[in-house]
Amino acid sequence: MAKLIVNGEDQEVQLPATVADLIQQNNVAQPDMVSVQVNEEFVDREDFATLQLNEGDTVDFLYFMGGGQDKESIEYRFGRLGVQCSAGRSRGTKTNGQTFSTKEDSYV
Amino acid sequence: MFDFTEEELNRYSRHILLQDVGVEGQEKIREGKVLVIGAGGLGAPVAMYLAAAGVGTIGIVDGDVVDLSNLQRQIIHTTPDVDKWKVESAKETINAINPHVKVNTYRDFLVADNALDIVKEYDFVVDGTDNFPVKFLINDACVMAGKPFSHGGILRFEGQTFTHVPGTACYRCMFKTPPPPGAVPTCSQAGVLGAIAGMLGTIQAAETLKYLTGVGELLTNKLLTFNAKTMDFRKINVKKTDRCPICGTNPTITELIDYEQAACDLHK
Repeated sequence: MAKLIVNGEDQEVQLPATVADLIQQNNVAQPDMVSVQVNEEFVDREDFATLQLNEGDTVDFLYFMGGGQDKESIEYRFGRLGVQCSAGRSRGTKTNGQTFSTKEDSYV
Repeated sequence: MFDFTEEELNRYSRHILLQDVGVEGQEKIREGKVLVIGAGGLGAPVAMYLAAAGVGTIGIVDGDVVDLSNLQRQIIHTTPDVDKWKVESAKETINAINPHVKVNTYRDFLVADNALDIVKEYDFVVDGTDNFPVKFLINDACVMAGKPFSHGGILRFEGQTFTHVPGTACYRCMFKTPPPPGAVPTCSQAGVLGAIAGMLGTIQAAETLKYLTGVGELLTNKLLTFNAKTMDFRKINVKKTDRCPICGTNPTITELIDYEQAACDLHK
């Protein structure tokens, strides 16, 4: 196991590993949207699957607009919002035997 | 030597007291011409702080009207401003804060056709937009026109910004090309904590003032990202790349591009 620095934090990585491997191991939500730097040099997307990483490498994942870790799809959000509008208004009341409560993930 | 009135010296006294700014710095701010693209989440705090600071000329670009859902974070607009043109509402707030500021309003969206004409009048440009096609357009126009700018983006609880001056990394050095429409959610789809706009917008305003006064180190060749859930801030070193399609040694982009806008928008 080799020690790499990924997004500023130490990470143990089984070598040999390519950039593509590291992206997968880190569960990057949108792997085709992420930009990658290795040792502060940008890696072309075409080279993700071939560039080998080494002990001590620093790897940075750059995401569009600061997001990137969330797997929820846009359609899911639309659907949730449609439901929550009515749920929000009847917060705390019983409807068809169900009690709606406020949870952080209930509101977009 | 500097023809500040008593009122201005009083108004800007907290700047003038700063050794790094002084009357000379305040004069530079007063001579500054800053273009704020977008009078929304980011544009709002940027424009307000630049107005407060006494930037001489502020240009605002926005083709939209104020919507009730904007008021959660676009603090330059207030409840009576709903349905008003954003640029008009913004101008009123700016001049209420500081009547000395000259405001140029562009009641339009920035597109390939107008971008170069608009940016050329200004010393510094601030990206306060919420979609990728225009972020790339701003980058390209500023690189072509040799204008420094502040890039900014927010989503949910996170924010990201960097500053570009000619010769340093640009947006395309980091992200070669925009994501396909709908691939990455925008605030109207995913939501954003209102205060995040303030957190990032004021960083952009500070960078603008630092550029005008020459104080400190700009966020050039860096990408500053933060996550407000943990209040972790990270500054990633970024290099200008020779292979960049617009600012590299063999640019492939020679014209401004209007990428297809994301079709997905909640209230449309």
